[in-house]
Amino acid sequence: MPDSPKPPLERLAYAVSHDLGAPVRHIRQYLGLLKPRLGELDARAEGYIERIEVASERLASQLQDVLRYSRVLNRGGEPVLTAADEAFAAACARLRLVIASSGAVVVSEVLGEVLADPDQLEELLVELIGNALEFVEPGATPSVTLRRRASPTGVRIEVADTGIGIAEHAGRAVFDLWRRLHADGEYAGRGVGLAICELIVQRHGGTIGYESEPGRGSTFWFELPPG
Amino acid sequence: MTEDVVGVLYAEDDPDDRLLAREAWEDSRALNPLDFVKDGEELLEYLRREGRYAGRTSPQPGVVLLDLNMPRMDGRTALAEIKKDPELRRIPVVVLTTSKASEDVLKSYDLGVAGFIVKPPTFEALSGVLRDVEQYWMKLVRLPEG
Repeated sequence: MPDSPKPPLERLAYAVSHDLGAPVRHIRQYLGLLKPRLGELDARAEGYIERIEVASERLASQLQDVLRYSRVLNRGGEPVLTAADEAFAAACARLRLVIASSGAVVVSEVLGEVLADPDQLEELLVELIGNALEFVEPGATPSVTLRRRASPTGVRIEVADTGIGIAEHAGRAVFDLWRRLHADGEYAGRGVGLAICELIVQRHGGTIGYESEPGRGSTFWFELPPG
Repeated sequence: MTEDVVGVLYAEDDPDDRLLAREAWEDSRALNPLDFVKDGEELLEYLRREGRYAGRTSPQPGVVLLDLNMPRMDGRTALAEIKKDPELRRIPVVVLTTSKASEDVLKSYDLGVAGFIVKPPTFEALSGVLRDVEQYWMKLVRLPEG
């Protein structure tokens, strides 16, 4: 048992994502059982069955997202002095398939130490670098550069890319859960990554933001309190 | 388990999971018996041939599939009881649960489970899991008894 009870909303998020998983799984499994027993259906009925399958699969994925989101708070460790260069290397290792297949250039200046939960710092870099790799013009080679900047209020790390950039009107909405700025199928993802990033940074008492020029690229940055 | 054939015992409180597992077991054309108990207490009564299972003459299951989250006695407690009991500790227990949490995985292996499986999302995948369980535990490995 945990030492102190978790705040109610964190418990709710966990309970929702965990306990709603069973009925969603059952719907999908009963559909799998039902389909071969339906025999010949007309095209419209086939279409309805397919829509139920897609919807229940989406529901299952979104419950996974809620679970992931709730785990940032429920499972996060205490901030400790962490080598950000090691977190960068670990993030690149996790993204190695995407980096290799896109021919991306991902480089980092010396990042030094920051005060953070090592796993969450790695997750943060995976998401930010992963976005930089994803949001490029079709066929373009992604290029990502990480830098550390001195700041009066803490340690600032920047992840700069040369991708498609973000429309000016998007503002802070890019950090909303399940907010996507592109049509389905245009770019991958369900709009979870940046919401997770914002939660991780907030949990560390820091701030996250970005500057962007559509067509030229984006620079996402986060600032963590000094050690 | 009515016959003398060694089978699989699945401890699962959710009636849908039990029904779907039954269907998947038949779908995978498994020949060995599949039996169910509804929580950890019933599981221990079954294995110890006590209470509701006082007169049980069927052989011990070749493998126990165990859900972790169950009412009355949950899977974690039942697992610890089984592994403490010299009469039961050799029966392989495979966890079948929704939890992917690493502390559940590690704790289960610390308590001596033979495997840890996350409940699959589709019926096809469930059939595959139960077919693999049957292939491995009923056909491939030499069990401690029988």
